[in-house]
Amino acid sequence: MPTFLQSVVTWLAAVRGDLYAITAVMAIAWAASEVVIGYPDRPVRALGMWGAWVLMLANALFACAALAAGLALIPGSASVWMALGVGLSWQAMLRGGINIQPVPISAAPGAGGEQSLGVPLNELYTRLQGFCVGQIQRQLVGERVSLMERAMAKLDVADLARVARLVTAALAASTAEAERYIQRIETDPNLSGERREIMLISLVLDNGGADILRARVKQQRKT
Amino acid sequence: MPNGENTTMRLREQEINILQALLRKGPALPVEVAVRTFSFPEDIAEPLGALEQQGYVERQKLRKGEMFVLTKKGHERALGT
Repeated sequence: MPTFLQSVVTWLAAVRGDLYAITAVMAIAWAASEVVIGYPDRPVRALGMWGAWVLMLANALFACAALAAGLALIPGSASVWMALGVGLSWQAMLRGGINIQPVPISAAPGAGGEQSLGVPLNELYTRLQGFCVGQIQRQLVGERVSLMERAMAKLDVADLARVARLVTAALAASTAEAERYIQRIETDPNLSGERREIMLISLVLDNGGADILRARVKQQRKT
Repeated sequence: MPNGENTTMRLREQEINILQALLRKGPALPVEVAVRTFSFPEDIAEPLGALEQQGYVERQKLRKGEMFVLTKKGHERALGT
């Protein structure tokens, strides 16, 4: 067996998987909470997007790499407390604006071999986070637009206004305001039929009426 | 220009409503921002532009159209209002 593979196998045999699992779970939970906070209206749907999975996995990988570095730097520190400590402090460091420069693994201090890889890890993570969040946003918007197109093809303004009234009736505090708004959309002479439909559908979707709208489109397709 | 300074410091009611709507329900297309505040898209074009200029919201291009997202500054402002 080649030396490299042997050293990998030796390392894997000695590794404390439970510690990495603790740190990884903390990192995944942290990234998931960021996604949920970012999309308060559709947290579960947002968590199901591949952008969210990439963010959670990347966060776990970064945290596990930090734990590996910590364990290598402090011999005999392998404990649950170390895993918890790294899990927490790593998240705080990544998001606290602390400049974390990647350190070469092999170079001994003072050997003159330390050369930064250029991009600080926290900046790298921020870029990755931005990319993943952008993907989640695009996917969510894409789904809404697609449902909007289907609803426009199947339902007319009167149908949509009925669904909008149904959905906004649940808004106890602003039902009257919603009713005035729906009436304005229905009667405003400056609005085209298409714009009336888009606004009514947006109103329905924005008030949690996606399932009702989907059911109405499906029903219309059958008749 | 004291008036200009005032407009950057203080937000109008509709601008605050837009920030609150984006905070409550997340990023949105312009028409969605409008319905969240019970207004028409043309009514919110100007306040959205003002919020964008002041760095509270960010416009992101999509394949079809664009959407508005709260910036960190906008998030803090919306929480503070």
